[in-house]
Amino acid sequence: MRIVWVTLKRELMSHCFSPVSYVIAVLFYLWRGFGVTSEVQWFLQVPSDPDVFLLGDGWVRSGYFGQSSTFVMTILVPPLLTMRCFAEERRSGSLETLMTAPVRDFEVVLGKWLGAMAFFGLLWFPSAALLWLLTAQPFFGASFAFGPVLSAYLGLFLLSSLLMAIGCFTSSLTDNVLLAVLLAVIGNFVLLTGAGLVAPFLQPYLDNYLVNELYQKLLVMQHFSLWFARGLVDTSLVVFYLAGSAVFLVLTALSLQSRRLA
Amino acid sequence: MRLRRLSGWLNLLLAAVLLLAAWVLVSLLASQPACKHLFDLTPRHNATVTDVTEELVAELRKRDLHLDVHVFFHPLSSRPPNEYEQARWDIRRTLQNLTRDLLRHYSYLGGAAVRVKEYDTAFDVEHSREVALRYSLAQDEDQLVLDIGGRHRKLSLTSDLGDIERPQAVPFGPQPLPRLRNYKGEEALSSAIKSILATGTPKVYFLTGYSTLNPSPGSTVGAGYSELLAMLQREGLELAELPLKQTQQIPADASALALLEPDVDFTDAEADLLVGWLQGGGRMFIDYGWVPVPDHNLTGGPLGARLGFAVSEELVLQLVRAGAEMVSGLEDVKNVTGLFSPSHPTTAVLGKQALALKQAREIRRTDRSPSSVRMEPIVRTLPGWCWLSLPHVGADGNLRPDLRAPQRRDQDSHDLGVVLDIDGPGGKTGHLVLLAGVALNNLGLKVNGAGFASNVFNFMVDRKVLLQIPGDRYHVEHVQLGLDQVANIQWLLLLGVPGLFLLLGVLVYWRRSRWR
Repeated sequence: MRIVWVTLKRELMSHCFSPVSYVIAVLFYLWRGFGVTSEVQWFLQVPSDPDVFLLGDGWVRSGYFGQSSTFVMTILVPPLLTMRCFAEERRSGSLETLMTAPVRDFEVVLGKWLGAMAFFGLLWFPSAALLWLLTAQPFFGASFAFGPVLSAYLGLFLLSSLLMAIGCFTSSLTDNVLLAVLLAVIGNFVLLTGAGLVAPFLQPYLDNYLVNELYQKLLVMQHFSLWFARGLVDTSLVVFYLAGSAVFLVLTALSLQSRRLA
Repeated sequence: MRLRRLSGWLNLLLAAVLLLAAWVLVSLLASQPACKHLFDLTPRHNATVTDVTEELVAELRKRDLHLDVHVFFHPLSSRPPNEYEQARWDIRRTLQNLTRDLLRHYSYLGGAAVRVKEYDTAFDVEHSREVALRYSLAQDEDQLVLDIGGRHRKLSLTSDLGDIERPQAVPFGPQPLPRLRNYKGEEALSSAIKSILATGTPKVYFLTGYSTLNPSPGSTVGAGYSELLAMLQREGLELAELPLKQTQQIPADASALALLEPDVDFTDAEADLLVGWLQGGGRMFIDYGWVPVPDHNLTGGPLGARLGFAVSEELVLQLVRAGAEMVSGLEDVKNVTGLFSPSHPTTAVLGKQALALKQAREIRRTDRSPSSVRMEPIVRTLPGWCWLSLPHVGADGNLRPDLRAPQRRDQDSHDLGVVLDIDGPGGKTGHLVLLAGVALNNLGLKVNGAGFASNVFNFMVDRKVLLQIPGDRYHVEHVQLGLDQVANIQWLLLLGVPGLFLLLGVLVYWRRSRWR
C-alpha cells in the first residue's frame, strides 16, 4: 500500500503543478458562475422554495446540480486527467522504468487512479464550499437541505470514479495521448447514452424484472437526477459504480501486464 | 512476437468479457430487494416509508400480486402571470416531486411486484389517452391510478395527497395565497392499496319497479343506461337488480344501492327500510329525472320526509348566450350546467369541469330535517344565470315548462346534486347521493357524465381502510432576494472563485518558471 500512497501523491502533485489544471478550473467556474447566477435571478422576481435552487423544478430551472457545466465537467475532465496516466508515460519512456521497479501493476494502477480522483475532488471542493457560503445573509440568507447536497456529491464521485477507471483503461491501451482521450470520451458517451441506444431492443422485454433492472442500471443520468441529487442513496447503485470501477481497474492492470509480457 | 502480442490482446478481450459479465451479475444481485438498502437523506425524510407500508408491499410480493401505478402529471404551464398562480404552481411542482420520490421508494421496496409508469401526455399522446379513457380520468388534473389485478383506485394529487390551505378571500382585499400544509402521500397511497386488497368485488344493486315511464336501465337507447352499467362493470363492480317492492329487504352482500329516474315513490315501509340501512352505514344513489306527465315527478316522498330533503317541482332553467345577446325560448334552455364542488371527495378530483343536465330540478333541505342528517352540495349552478320555472299542464295534458326568461333572474345558486351524511345510532354513517337531472344516460355519459358517475359509485362502494400514517408537517420556505444580494452572489461566483483559481495558476506558473 506504500506504493499506492507514493503514486497517489506523485500524481496529485503533478496535477496540482500543471497550469493546464488551473485553466480548466477557471473556465469551469466561470461557466458555472454564469449558469448559477441565472438561477439566482429567479429569486429576484418571485419568492420561491430554496430547494429549487439546488434541485431545479423539473421544467425551466435546472438547479445547482443540473447545470450543463456539471455534466460537461463530469464527462470531459476525467479523460483529460487520466490520459497522462499511462499513455504519456509510455510515450516518454518513464512507464518502463516504473514497471521494472519491484512494484505490482495493480498498486500502480490504483495509485494513479486515486491520484486523479483526489485532484477531481479538489476541483469540486470549492463548489461545495460555495454552497455553504451562499447560506450567509449577504448572499442567499437561507439554509439549504444538505442531505441532498451530500448525496449529490456522492453520486458525482461515484460516476467520476467509473469514468476515471475507463479513462485509465483506455490510457493503458495506447501510447497516443489523443487516442486515449478519444477512446475515453467515446466510452463515457456510450455509458451515458447507451440506454437510449438499446431501449428499442429491450422494450419488448422490460416487463421482465431482471431485464428491467439491468435497463435501469444503464440509465446513468437518471441515477443522478432522480436518486442522488434528490437525497436518496440506493446501495445497489453504489455497488454498480464501485464494481464497474473495479472491473476497469483490473482490466487496466491486465492490459499493462499483457503489454509488459509482449 | 506478433503471435504473442495477438494472444495478449485475445486474453485481454476474454478477461474483459468475463469481467463485464461479473459486473452485470454483481449489479443484479445487489438489486435484489433483500440485498439493497435505501438511505434517505432528504429533509424530514420525505421518501422514507413506515413499517406499515413495508409490510403492505411485502404482502403484495407474498401473494404474487402486481401493483401498477399509472401516473398522469400534466406539465406545468408557462410562467405564472401573478403571485397567486405562482403559489399554485409551486404547490403542484412540490407535490409532483414528492410523489415521484415516494413512488420510487414503493417501486424500490416492491421489486417486480410494483410497476410505476408515468405518462407523458405531451409526447406519448395516443398511449396516454388510451389509458386515461380506460380509467375515466379527468383531463387537466394530476392523478394517479393504482391497479391491482383490475381493481383500481384513483387518487388526486392536490386533493388526496396534499393538504392545501385555501384561505377565504376578504372583500376588497388581496387574494390570499394557497399554502401546502402537509403532504399525505404515504397515507393516501398505502390506504388505497389496502382498500383494494381488503375489499372483495363490491356489489351494487339497482332497484327495479320504480320507473314505469323510462326505458329499463339496461336499455341501449339514448335514454337508457347500458353505457353506465358497462362502465361500472369495467371498473370492477358487480351489478344486480333488486325488486325491492317484492323482496322488501336489502341483501346482505349489497355494497350500495342505486335508483335511476324513478317515477313511482317509496312506500312508508320501504322508506323506513332504506333509512335503517343508511343509518347502518349503507350507501345509495338516486337520480331523479323529470317526465312531462303530471303526478309522476317525485319530490322526495316518504324518504325525503324522513331525511329532510325535497326535490322541487320547478325545473331549473338556464339562459343560452348567443354572441352578446341573451336569448331564451329555445330547446337548449332546458339544459343546465352544474359546477362541481371543489371540496367533496366525489367531485374534488373533477376540477373545473362542469356537468350538463337535462330536466334539472333543485334539491332543498326541508325545515324538518333531522339533526343527524347533514347535506353537502356537490353539483350547483352558477349564481345569476338560472331561474326556476314551474311547468304547467298544456292543452295536450302534458307538462310544459315555461321557457321564457323572467325579467329578473334570481341571484342564488341552485343545488342540483347533494350528498346526505346520515348518522346512525350505532356510530356508523351512511351516505345518500342525490342528483336531480339527467346526465348519466347513454347520451349524457358520452358528453361528460362518465367521470362524475365513476367517482360517485367508487365513493359509494369504497370502504376506505385508512391507515394511520402520520404525515409530515410539510414546511415550505420562500425566499426572495434583493438586488444587493444578487449582486454579491454574482461577484462571488464570477470573480471570487475563478479569480482564486487564476491566482493559484499564476503562482504555480511562476514557481515552475523559477525552478527551470
